[in-house]
Amino acid sequence: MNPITLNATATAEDVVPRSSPGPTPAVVVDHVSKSFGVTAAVRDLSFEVRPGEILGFLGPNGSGKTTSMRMILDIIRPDSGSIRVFDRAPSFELGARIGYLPEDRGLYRDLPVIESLAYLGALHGLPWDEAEQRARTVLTDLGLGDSLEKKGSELSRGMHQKAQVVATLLHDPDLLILDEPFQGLDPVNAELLRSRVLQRRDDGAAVILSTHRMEEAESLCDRIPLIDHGREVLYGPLDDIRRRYRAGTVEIEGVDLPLDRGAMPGVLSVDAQDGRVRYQLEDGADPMRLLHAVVSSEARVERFEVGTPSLEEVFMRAVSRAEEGSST
Amino acid sequence: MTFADTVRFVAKREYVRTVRRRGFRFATVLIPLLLGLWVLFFGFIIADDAVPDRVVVVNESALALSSSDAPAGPSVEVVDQAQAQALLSAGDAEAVYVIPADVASGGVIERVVPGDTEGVASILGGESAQLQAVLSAHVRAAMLQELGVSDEAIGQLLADPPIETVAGFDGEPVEGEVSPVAILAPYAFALIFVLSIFTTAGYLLQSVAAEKENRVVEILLSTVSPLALMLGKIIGLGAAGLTQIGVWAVAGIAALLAAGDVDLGATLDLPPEAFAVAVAYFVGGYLLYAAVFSAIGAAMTSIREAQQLSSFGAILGTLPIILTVVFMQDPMSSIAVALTLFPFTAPAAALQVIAFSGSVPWVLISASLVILVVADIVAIILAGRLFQASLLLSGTRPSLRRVTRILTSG
Repeated sequence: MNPITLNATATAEDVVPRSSPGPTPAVVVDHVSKSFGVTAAVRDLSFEVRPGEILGFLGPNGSGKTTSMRMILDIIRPDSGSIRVFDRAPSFELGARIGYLPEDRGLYRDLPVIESLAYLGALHGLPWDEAEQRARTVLTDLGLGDSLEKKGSELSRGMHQKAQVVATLLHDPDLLILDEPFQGLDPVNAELLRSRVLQRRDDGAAVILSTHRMEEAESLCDRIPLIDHGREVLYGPLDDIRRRYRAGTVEIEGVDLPLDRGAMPGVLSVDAQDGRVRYQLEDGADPMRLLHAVVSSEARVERFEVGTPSLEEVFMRAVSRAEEGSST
Repeated sequence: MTFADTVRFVAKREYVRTVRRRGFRFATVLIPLLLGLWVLFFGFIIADDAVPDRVVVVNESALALSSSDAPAGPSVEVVDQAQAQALLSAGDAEAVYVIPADVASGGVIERVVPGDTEGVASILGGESAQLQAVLSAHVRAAMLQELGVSDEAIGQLLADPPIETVAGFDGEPVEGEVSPVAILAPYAFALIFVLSIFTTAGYLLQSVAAEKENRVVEILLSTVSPLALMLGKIIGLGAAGLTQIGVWAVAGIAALLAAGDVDLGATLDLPPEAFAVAVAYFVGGYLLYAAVFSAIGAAMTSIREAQQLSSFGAILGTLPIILTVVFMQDPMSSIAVALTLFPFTAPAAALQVIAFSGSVPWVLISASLVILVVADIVAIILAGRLFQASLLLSGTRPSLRRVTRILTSG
């Protein structure tokens, strides 16, 4: 497994090739920047995604996720850097191999759903009849069999969203780019559609999935670039990130545990509560050195656990590190 | 799909979608139908307003109202008051004229209508001025006869002197008469022509604005280039517009032919080559307005907003129709020429220049078409830039400054 790369505060051992071993990447984004007027939307962004992999594109609203996706699709062009999609420059001609679900999405209000989907499928290279047949089958599987002939304006919001995800998957794309795909869906339908995306991933498609919901990324993604204000603050396989940040906190239960942070090696803060003490460690501090120091004191240790931070905590810490890095 | 395949596919889908629209089918069928009903209605009115074949008169004067020496037209039927009353009651006469005894010294001729006739109808009646002119001629003839004037002299006195139009002093007579149809036909033709351009460009505006409003556009742009999308729409909807005009034209010609001995060429009073020029102006005018309207549709945040802005374009395009009188007075006047050369008014202006001058002024028309083609190319390039830059701006419209920057960017 590869170690993670932290842009702003990278140490020598963190700096690794940005690619992972395996098949040729479906998408390679290499030091790409894009500005709109004086606003830098994306700054020196690099990542890649391979077939059979889900890349979780994480970041708060306005962090540059959508702009990055649009650049991969050639809807907008980067100011600098390069992008390769299936080893080619991005182009509309790759549309047949790509399924895109934008955050701002909809269907034709004046057309029957089946016709909207057939049209979108045909634009992605399917023969019209086949697109219609596929749409009919998938919509029926998803419980929308009664709504095939309904116009877009007659569908509920949930139906709309299901139909939109179907439109994205209809032509069996090799690359799926999904911008907040499950936003607004109820848990049942979200799970239904999540399984479709995973199925496509298992069939070998590369998936780029943008979300600002960390738990969604944790449950789906193999790798994440985490961006904030257009720049990457974290990038790597999810397991590595967890392992890297796991060392951030240590929780110990016992008696007479030391509370003086100055006396403990690599401790940033101490928080005692109900016989448990939570030690926040400095970056790179070794939890085992802390354990050794505690055991060497008068304390009796009953339980020792290296804490696993949530992705949200990781994000917050990575952002603060990046900000510290850029201010120094 | 290649660029050309995409344009073809989008054009085909836009065409099929549009011609299947209820509104389109309604307009395509309804307008000729309404036109037919209008013709029938006026036909009925005209038939109802036809000059009766007789004037019923109660003659209380000493004048001999014979019809032999009167001008051709309705005859004068002299009856007594009881007969006149019976004719009025039975509805066999719309009015009866009572010639008073002192008619020769200025006595008033009464026009008697049935007692239950009300309001304006009692004044106007269904009779024409021609009928009353005939009656006056009969009365004058009788009065002249009383004075001993010969029948030959009466005929000469009452006959209208012939009037002929000549082109310049010592010039040749101008053949043919300018009938109201000859004046109205080019006007109506230009009006329908401009209406067709705006109807078709309006479909394009709606299509683009709806895709933006429905938020389908970003999915489309992930697989179709903005230029291919715009061109596909322009071609597909242009074909739909031509289909509509074709249906209207066929229906109109069929109606005229069904009406009997109608010389289409004479009715429209246009030289044959004018029809080829009209097609060129339709295509050129449509492309110009389609490019502008597609840019408006892409830039505005809703269909309604886009339609409001596009109505200014419609006013500009119909300006030559509003100024028809200028073309009627002198189709080569400086205003008419300027409107023919200005690309946004050229389609309607050029048609009227051709119609009212009775020929194709090739120098003016050629210059106008060249300017129109150049304007089309420039408009499509600029609209393409605005189209591409504005489509993804959902919920906001670009500022004038931004539009300028987009249009002037290379």
